[in-house]
Amino acid sequence: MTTLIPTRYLFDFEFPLLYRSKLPRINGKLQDWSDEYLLPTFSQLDNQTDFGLVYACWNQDGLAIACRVAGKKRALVCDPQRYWAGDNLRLCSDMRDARSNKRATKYCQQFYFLPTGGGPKKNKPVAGSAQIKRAKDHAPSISVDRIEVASSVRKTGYSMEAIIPSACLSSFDPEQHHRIGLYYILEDRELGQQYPTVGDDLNWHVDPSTWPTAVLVKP
Amino acid sequence: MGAREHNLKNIDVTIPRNKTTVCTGPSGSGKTSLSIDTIYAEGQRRYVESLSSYARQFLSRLHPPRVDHVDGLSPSICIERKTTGKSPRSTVGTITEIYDYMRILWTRIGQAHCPRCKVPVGTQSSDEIAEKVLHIGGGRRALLLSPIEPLGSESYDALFQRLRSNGYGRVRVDGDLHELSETIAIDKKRDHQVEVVVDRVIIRSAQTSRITDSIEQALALGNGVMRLQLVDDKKQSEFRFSQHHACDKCGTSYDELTPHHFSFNSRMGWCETCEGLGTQQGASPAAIVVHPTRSIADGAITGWGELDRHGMLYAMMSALADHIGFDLHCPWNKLAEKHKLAFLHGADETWIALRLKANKKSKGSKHTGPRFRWRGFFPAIGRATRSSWQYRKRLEDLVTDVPCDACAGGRLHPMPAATQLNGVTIHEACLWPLSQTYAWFDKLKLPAIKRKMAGELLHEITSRLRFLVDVGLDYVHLHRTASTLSGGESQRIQLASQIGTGLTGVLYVLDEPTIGLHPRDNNRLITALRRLRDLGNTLIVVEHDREIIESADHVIDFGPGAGVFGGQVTASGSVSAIRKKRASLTGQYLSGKSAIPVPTNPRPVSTPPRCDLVGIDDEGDIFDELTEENELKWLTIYGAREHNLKEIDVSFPLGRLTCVTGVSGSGKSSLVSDVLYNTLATRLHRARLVAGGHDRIAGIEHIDKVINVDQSPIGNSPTSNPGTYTGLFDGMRELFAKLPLSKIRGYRANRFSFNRPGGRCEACEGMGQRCIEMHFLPDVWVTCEDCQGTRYVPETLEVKYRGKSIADVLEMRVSQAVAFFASVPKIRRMLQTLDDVGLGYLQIGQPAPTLSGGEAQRVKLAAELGRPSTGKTLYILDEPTTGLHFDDLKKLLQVLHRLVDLGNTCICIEHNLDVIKTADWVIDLGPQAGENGGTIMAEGPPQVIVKNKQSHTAKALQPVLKAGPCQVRERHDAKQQASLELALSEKIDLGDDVKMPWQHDGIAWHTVDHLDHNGTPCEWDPALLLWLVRTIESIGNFAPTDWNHRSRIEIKSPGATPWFCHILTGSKDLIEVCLRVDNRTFTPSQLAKLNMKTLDERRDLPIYGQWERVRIRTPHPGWQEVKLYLRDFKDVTKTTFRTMLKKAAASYDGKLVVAQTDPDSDKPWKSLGMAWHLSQKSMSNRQMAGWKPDLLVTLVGRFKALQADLDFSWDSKTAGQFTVPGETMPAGKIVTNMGRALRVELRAPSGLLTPTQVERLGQDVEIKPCPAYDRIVFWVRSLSHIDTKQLRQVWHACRETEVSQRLQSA
Repeated sequence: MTTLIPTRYLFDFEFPLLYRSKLPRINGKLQDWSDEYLLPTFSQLDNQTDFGLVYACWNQDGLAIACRVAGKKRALVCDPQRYWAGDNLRLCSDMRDARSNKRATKYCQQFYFLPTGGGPKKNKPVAGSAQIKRAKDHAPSISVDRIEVASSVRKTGYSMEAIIPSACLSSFDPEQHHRIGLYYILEDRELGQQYPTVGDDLNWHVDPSTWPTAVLVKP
Repeated sequence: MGAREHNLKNIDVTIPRNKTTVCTGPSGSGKTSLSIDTIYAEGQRRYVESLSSYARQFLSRLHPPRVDHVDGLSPSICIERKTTGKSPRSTVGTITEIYDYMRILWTRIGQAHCPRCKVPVGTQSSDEIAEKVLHIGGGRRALLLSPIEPLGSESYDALFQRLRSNGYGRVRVDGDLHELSETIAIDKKRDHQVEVVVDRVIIRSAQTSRITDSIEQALALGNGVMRLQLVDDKKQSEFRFSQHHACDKCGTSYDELTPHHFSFNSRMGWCETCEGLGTQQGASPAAIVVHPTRSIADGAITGWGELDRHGMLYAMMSALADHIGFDLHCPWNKLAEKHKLAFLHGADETWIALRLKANKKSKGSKHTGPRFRWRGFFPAIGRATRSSWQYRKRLEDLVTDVPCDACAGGRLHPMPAATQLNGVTIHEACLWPLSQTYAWFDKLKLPAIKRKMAGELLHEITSRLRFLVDVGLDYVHLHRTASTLSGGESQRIQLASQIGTGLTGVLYVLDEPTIGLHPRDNNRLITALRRLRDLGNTLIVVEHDREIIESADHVIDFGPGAGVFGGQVTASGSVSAIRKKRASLTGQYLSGKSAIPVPTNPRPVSTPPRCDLVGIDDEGDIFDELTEENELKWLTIYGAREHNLKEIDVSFPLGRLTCVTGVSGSGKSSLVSDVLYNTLATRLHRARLVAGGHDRIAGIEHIDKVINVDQSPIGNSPTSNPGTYTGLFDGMRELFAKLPLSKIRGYRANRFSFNRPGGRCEACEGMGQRCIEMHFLPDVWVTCEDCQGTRYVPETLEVKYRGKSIADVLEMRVSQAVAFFASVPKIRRMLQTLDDVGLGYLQIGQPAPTLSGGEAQRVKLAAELGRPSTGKTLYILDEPTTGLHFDDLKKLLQVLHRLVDLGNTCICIEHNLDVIKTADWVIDLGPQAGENGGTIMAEGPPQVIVKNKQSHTAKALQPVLKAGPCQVRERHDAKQQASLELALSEKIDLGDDVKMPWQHDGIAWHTVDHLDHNGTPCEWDPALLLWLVRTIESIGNFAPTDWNHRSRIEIKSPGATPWFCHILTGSKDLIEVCLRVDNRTFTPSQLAKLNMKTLDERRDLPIYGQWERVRIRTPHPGWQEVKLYLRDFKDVTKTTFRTMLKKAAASYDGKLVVAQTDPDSDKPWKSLGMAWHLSQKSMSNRQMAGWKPDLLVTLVGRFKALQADLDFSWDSKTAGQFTVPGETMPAGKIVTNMGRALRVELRAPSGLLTPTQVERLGQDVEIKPCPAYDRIVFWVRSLSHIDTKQLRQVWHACRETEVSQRLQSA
């Protein structure tokens, strides 16, 4: 017997996003991350198994995100021109707590991170931002060079971390707006997709109402 | 005097005033023509005539009935069967006007409640507020505060300055007190809550005067709102007082309620989400809660199964259950309604903490973990279908009308919906069964003042409710929509509103008020009718029910036959007088001289199988012991729970006539239509219906087709007639199109339709009559002068079958047509069914609006019953006897029994005791209606049923069975019928032996007669055609040109070779020349030398187009096809053209030589075999391969596993065929040229398998009947689509049956 819709779609989710006075060091080894910063996963509700760990934290200077993927048998496939087609981590943010909006506003952004595929030898990590389709209004364009990203690729997987500076986050104002929309999707050509709420079939890429709420928690 | 409407034969009738008169007689004998179309119509006309001509222009014009004179006519009101609208806004409450009275009642004496806080809402004066404040008392110190806001663009500083200048000393800003004399630091960019301290008082009676003054001042300053804060109270308690209609708790203001606010048809009152409909499109609850007897934790919800106690979903649902306040382990059907609502529609906006084991570690952490909110199933599914195309497609089968999310089906705006009268909201009262509603209103206790206000309203409500309960509608509720009411129910509901009006001296005309009424309730209806009569009214009732006829004061019997054979009064007088009249058909039945006999040889039925006899075999399949052992097969529904059904198991014997009986509302339609039909139609015919709640149905494999005849009326369009409705006319038109003259003229079937331009008379648009508008006089219809009423143009009428034109056929009576079309089985079968149900007198082309109710019902029945039966067909009929006289009923029963004798099954929902007594099996539901029904009271043959003392049906049936008479029923001889049909079919003559003109003289046909496909002369140049043919003949060694086709000339080499040239001549404007040559003979640039202009460039032509008139395509590997579209010699430069033709002929000859030496050169599949199919090259370039080559290999392996010696042949380009050794015909094939999936076709003996037995073979399984066998077609894209076990069963069943058939024939 199959469910009519994904079980996760029956819920709205909210999770705390922890504050760090100093954002972690970015070297691709995830040395500065502890389990405390793991983003919650609800895959179990739809009988899915996670293949990666995703971490995040924040402070006034910006957002930091990291992921660790294990269990791979094939080589990574990353093409910055077609970032969506290979192994990647994508992050969507909405700096206002407007979870009923079905179309993106100027506060919504999409970032992508590839563990390899950049640089002259195509072995450097890549960070970028992409417009959200069918948006009511697009966020101002940003300089992606300011996004710090590092990765470490192994035979059985990779780890990657990045800092998105507050200047690259549209209307980031943790004092006034401590509840934000935050969605990630970890895509792997070999292992599939991992996401907190819904997948492609329910249009996470155009519909911010499918993104969970992150509460920017400050000590 | 002299009534001549419709078929009435100039009759004179006397109807006693202030009495009940029943008009009866066979269907179509003229009962309704007299009562409604003459008497009621005359009453209406006279009323309209009494109005001024100014008023009349706004009314539809009424035709005066064809009657000489009507004397003593009272104002007339007609209550027909079909008069209630289908509007979803019309409910039982609104039709009977009970809801209108309730609206006023709830407005006047109801207590408004805040929908959010559920506390009473009301206005209060300043004195009342002062009284409440003093009541707080106790010498407590308090602040009286007035909320205040800046005026317009006034700043807060300016506001404080203004207050200071008005003499106030303190303000409270966002809860903090400040002295106005000080500077108040405030963030000017934000909104703040500012309150002025009007006074500081000690609440005691001595201060009454001051307190009252201060309160008035506070209210004036706060625009009717003030707050009181107790300052020495530890909790700093605060009270809010308002002079507005506002909630004391949350402060929300509401409008004062008026009756309009309670109307769901008014913008003021309706729920803004559903606009008063109470429903929205959403998933069916039955699709979500699949096991209502289980709890949510134990698998009630689809897809969830049993929740693992240690899983995340269990933790979340536990937290939700704690939050909402229900037990996760309580069976779904025992949960409180509000909990079900919260689960399906979503809980409140509160975030609930997720308590997971993993999170417990962080218990000491200062941060809370993840939290969630429950959206609810309906909103989530609604959102998913709105936002995702995939889910919209996936869930569309489940979408149905579900209660609105916002109002939960209440239809009203939250405020009126929350208003209570004695603790009951108007929606709650509207959802009770009428018996409960009546009891509640009857016992409603009100204070004296309120009772005085409600007196008249309560009287109106209770009198109407009492009538509804009296006429057996106690199970209906006031919110039930009119569209869901049966004909009888709606008529009785209209009667209730008439009773309520209390008119006297009125003539009421009622059309079959007993429809849908159980015999138990007949007496209640009779009493109600008597009460209406005793008010001083005259009643004319058109009725077939024995009890109603016998209760009448006066009876008029029409007859003797129907249609042209009726229209006369055969008897008139009291019931006893009628009984004695020999000429009266009804009298014969009433006196018992004629009767529908009780068969003494019913088909035997043993006890149905029970759950304990059904088990699960080793392979996990459910088996049914009795079915396997006995010949009689059963269809068993387990755990039926739709609507009021109480998880019942019901067994229907197959190959028998079963009646499902029970009082109205006992669950018959829920069981048979919602559960049984919807499930079978979905399983057998892939219908998109939502099946009613049940566990499973066993025995579907014994049925291959289900036909449903419901109560919906047939169309009322004048262009509809028995011929078009039953589909007869399609067959007749096709027949006429096959006649020689049609072929010569190129007439297709649509030429013979009077609903389409082409063959019909355009002056009257196929009506045969023309409407002349007479302005304020009624329209006059005159016979069309152009076609003389035949509907067609003379050319169409020249085509004749056995001397009759299509117009003559439409004029023909059904009985004549049966003989006329005896040799055309498809047409004869339907005509025979129409004749068998007693409609032999009807004209095939008789417009639908002129059919009587009973005739229309039987046309509909015949349309369904006349469809080919397979011997395994299940017919479901919902009250098929509506509108039928005893005599018509007899004929209908013969048809039903004939179908059953042929092996089919009939299940009738029926109240008519004459049908029940002849049934083989009866299932009686009850004991009462609504929630008190839904269980099986009795099941068995009628003779067994009557012994049940609890069953209402049994009580009514007993005397009928006793009265008899008993008689042996003659069985239908299927073999005799089949041989008769075969003999008749052999005589069919369509003039196939007549030689067509193109067969006589092809050249003359193509060049002189020169007609296109529509029979109009062609405009291209015949000389060009002749030149082309002669030129081609002269340049090559070709066989004689074949001119003997209507629209094609073929030139080819001698022998069985592929053709070289086809010239298509069937188009009016251009001839199409196709030349077949070797691949790559021509290039577009070479053909461009022909210099053919586009149609637009040829300015002398009346046709347009910019497309190239020379085209090249590659229809087959190795061949090229050149297409030329030519008009006349202006398109052709003879020398260039001849050169091109020569090159083409040479190429064709060369290609033939190669083909003869190496026939397979162009057929790589012949040499490559299976490798060709694995290469997927047989697919066109436009298709994407949706299956992998491995799949084909595995599939072949599966078939080899079924039978190792299967012989696979891969000779074909598009499919691999497999044959069983020793057989010539392939057992099946795998088609490989479809991108979608592999298509598998299996050969099966005719009628061996039913859809259920093959449904898991693959995707989109179909059984396609072929002349000698059935073809099972299914698609495979992945191996998971195949149920190997079922494939094995099907394969072996087919092979074994074929072997036994071969042995028998040998």
